[in-house]
Amino acid sequence: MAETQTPFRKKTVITAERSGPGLSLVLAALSLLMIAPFVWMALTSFKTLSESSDPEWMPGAFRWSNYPEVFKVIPFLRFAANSLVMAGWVTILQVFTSALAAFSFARLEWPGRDRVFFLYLGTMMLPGLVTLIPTFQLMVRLDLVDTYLGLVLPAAFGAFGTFLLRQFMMGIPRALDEAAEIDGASKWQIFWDVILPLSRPGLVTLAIFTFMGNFQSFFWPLVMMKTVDKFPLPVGLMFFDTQHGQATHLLMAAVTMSVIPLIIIFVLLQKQLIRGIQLGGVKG
Amino acid sequence: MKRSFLISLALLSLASALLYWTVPGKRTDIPVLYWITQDDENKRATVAAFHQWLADEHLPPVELRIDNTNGEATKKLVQGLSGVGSDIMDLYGYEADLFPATGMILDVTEDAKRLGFPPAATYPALKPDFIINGRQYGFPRNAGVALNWINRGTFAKYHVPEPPMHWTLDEFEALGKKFVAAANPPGIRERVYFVNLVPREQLRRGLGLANYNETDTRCTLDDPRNVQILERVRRWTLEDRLMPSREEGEAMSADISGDGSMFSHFTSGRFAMVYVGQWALIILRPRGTFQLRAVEPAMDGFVNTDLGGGSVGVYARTQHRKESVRFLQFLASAPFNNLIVRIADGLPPVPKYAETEEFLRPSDHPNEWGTAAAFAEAARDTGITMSKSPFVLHSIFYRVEKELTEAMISGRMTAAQTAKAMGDRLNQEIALRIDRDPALRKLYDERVRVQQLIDARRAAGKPVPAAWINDPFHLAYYRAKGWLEPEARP
Amino acid sequence: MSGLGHRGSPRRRLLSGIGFLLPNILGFAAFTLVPLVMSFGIAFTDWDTLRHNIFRNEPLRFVGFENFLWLFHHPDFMHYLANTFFLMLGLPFAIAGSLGAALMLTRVSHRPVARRGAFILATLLLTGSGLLLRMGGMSQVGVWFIFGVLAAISLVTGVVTGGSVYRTLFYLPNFTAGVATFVLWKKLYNPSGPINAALAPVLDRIAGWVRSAPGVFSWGLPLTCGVLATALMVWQLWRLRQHWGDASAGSVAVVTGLVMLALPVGLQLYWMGLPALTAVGGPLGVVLVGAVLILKRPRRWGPVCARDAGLSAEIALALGLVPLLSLLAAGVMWGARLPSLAAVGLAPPNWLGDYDWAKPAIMIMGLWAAIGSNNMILYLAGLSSIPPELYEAADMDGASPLQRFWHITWPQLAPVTFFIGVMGVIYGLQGGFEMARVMTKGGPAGATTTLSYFIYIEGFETGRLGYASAAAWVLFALVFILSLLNFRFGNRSAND
Repeated sequence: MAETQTPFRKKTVITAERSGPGLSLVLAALSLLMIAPFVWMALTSFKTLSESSDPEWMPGAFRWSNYPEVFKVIPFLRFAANSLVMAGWVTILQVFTSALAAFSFARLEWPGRDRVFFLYLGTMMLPGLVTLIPTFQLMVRLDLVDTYLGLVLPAAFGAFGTFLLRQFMMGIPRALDEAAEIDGASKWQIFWDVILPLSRPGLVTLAIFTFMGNFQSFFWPLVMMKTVDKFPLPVGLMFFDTQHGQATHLLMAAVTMSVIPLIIIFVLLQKQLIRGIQLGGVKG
Repeated sequence: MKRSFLISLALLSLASALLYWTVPGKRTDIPVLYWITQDDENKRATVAAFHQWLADEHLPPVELRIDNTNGEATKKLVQGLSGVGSDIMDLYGYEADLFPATGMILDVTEDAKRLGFPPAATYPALKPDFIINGRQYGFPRNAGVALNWINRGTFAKYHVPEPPMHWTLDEFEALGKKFVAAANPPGIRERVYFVNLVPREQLRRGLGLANYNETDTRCTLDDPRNVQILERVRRWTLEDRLMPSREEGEAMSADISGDGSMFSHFTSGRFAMVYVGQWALIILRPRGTFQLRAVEPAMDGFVNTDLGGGSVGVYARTQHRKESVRFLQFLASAPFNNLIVRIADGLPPVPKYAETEEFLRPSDHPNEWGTAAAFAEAARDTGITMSKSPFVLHSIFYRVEKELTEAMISGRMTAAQTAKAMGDRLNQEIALRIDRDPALRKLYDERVRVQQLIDARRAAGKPVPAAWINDPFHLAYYRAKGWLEPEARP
Repeated sequence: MSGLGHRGSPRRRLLSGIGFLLPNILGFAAFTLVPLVMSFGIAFTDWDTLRHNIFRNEPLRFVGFENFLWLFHHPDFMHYLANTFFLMLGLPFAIAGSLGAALMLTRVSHRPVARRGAFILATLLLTGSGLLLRMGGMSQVGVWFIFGVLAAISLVTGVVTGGSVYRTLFYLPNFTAGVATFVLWKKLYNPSGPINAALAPVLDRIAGWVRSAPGVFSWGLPLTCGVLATALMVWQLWRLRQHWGDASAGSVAVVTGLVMLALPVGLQLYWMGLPALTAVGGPLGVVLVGAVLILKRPRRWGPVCARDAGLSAEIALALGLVPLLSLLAAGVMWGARLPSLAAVGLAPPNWLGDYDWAKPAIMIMGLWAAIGSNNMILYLAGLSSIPPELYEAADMDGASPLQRFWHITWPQLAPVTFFIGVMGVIYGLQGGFEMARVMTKGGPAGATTTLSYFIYIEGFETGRLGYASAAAWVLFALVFILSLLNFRFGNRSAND
């Protein structure tokens, strides 16, 4: 079809000819825009309380003492450790079980498969809030309230991971598994040796999503946990809301600190993501 | 990839084990109680005083820990109603009659008589806060009364006379306009306000109008008197600009919870007065020495102030019943009341401590002398707790009233429309609730019958027995007007 | 097409299928399915946590559809529903934003030749910032200095790491706990906060321009906008006729195109003061008439095409056309009023406190978070799995960059876009709860109360879980319908 396409308005798509320092500049400018709120946040973490409500970006004097003070107000390391470990477990469980399930949906043929998949999909469509109280009461009956296990379990089995990985797996050409099947591989071997390595981008993507999402979860841990020492970080940040108002400067310091382990994890996982993509060699 | 998977699995297991074992275990020798309250120096001082008191009274020791994660009632409700609530909980405002109604709070009437913290030990007007249907469900931690704090320095600065202790709405308006005119010369960047807010409920009560009728069966906010008050509020906010509107208020404060900024504006002079309780001293004292005075909020008619207690209740499913009830006993004791006097966290729950020299004229703070007396007098004489109806969840009442008032102030509705909308919404809410709950419906029908009797008597100009009236405001109002039957002496 | 295990009895296939599914489905059934079914049952009862708990164990009463009826009687339910849908309007922008970001990031990593230019720029920025600092002193220009240094650093690191640092920078918004992001933005939107402080001088300048030439604005602006809008609409109508005629667009595509035209018109009518129903109903009527006219026209040439041919093209075009037309409509509406506004002085709005600006404020925050979000990562993964041979073939045919995007990139990314679309609808309609709880408590007079926050209020603050469950299942039905539509049309185009 040789019809001409009319100019289409979309966000800037830099053409190949114009790239070069221009593209870098645009990217740098855009990233500045993206991190501007964070710059504000980092700067505010050095202010005094009254300065933190001022429109002025720069603090009068850099109060480095805010950071040690955070540790005095809340057991920051403990909260961060709780969050990291909880999110880690949820991620591992999610990725593993979702990979298995996605394989079943994407590759195996069995009666009722698509209907069950729709069921999975459907459960994501209900706002989690209303299932919170029944789930909580289930936890009470299982005596899992105020335990780490109780935090991890409900979050570890969701339909999202299965859906995502299924889409990824459906993009892998079937020629590969058919070749393996002809060679006499069992289904498990096909899964473990063929599909799984090829889905690495999907797995890492899911890991990143799950980890980040779970690290930020606030409401469920709020309701589940009673012992202060078991709180994850978002709930722990509530300690900065005192009767006298919110200690904004300390809160910002705490949040700035909490971002650092996440950046590290992301950078590490990112490398995996890229390596997996480059080693993919999916199309052939 | 499989290798990194296994490595991370191993790391995680290690970390979890570490975390699990390093949770500070409970000391198994003495029981541990959890108290849901705010975590600040005052509460910590209370906990320390409690431990000390237990030791002094030779009572078995207990460890009390503060649980500070109650942003709203959500967590308390969900956990409490599922059987895993904390042993002791602070009940703020409407929670004080909502929670006992769900069965979640322990009935301590007998314990109170035995251990010495019966209702008679505290302000009579506070009773509705922790006595439901004649049963006692806790004890107040303090008594709070809100008055207008005056920054004398601000008034002096603009050469405006200070308001008197008792003043009417017209006097308020006149003085307010004078003040903002003097304090806001043209071209000023940051506007100076007269007061941060006026207490609408108290102003309505001044005109004899409460949120509900005498038996709390109907919301009466669609009454023309409410329209009067709302219209005044609207005029003062939008035209005379004596108070900031919600948007302007947001511009002045950036905090979700608490009013840290309100106080800084008070001390810096952007508010000449702030309407807040006596606990303001906790925040004002560290900020410097200001010449302070406290006056009643301006109102027409029946003078009344807003009395509230932060009461403390015991969870019905606690595993440490005896120890938790001891805490309530502690609240009526001398060491606790003296502590409250010292830290100025509201008025001490036991009235006689509010008459001590240390309370009325604290030696360290001569700049406050006179304010404590005003608060004590208000709590004693004019304080009335807020009107609550068993047929309307107060959280809904609060939300509806606030949202509709805001809508009026942002210009979307007139005062008359707002009043009508308030009445309609809340009466609809009542209908919904009694429709759902058969027990409530029974109560409602009984009360409606009593209400009809009351209306008949009032129409005929005859007195009404006090036992018929449920609402604390109407009770006080009727008493002041002499409309009550003389009470039979037992 | 042919899956594994298509040999073997159905029973064996079922067993192996379930076998793989088992770990996931066990946990899923226990922690997701069971509470879900319970909440469905609860929606038909009068469960009130305050009456049905371990203390007051009253019998649960079955009330049939009463909860749903009360829901539609609630005076604000429609308002909250409208809020929820309004906030979804940002979804196309979010998708476009993350796609654009992913495209740029991919391109940058393919072109390391930017080195020299980048280094030069970085040095310039550093020196410039340093000079500013000498001239102005830390407190005055400290911010600009910091930004200059940051820009320089990111440029250099960008070059050194081959662009991957930008990936991290873009993804940064996702690192803060959701709650912390909301708190952060609440502070930013403070009327005396940094955003307004930056906007105020800009608006003053604009007000100055408008004041100096009021005639130009009060006549010129609405006129230009009106002419442009009409031209665009005419062009779109002509285009639709052409495509229908030469069988490159099916009936569904044509109807979609017309509906997308009707939306800005409806918006304009609504702003002009017509009640919502008329404002929407009028244009829809026009759409029907237009559809009939166009579809009745016999095809002159070409074979009959599938009903939903050309749909994705139509939707893509609409993504650009609808916002553009809405902007132009706004220009027509308020261009005339601009001078009178400017005479008083344009001030930045009180974002979260202003009834009209609260939702746009939320959407701006949403867009910021969405550009460098999970969607961008998905697009990155998707982009890197497009075989380069396709691009090489296109280059050999002499395709322009736009054609490369339109014919290769966009169709290859269709599965990812489809996924993101479905997820976006599902989570978007369910969202807004934490945002409202932290930032606005439902907004000035209910402006930012979404259905999800309404469910929270009803379910948690008042304990009426039966009622809240009914609302949740209404929401579910909406999401289900929309996802179904998305599936039918999106999946089709993803697979062709």
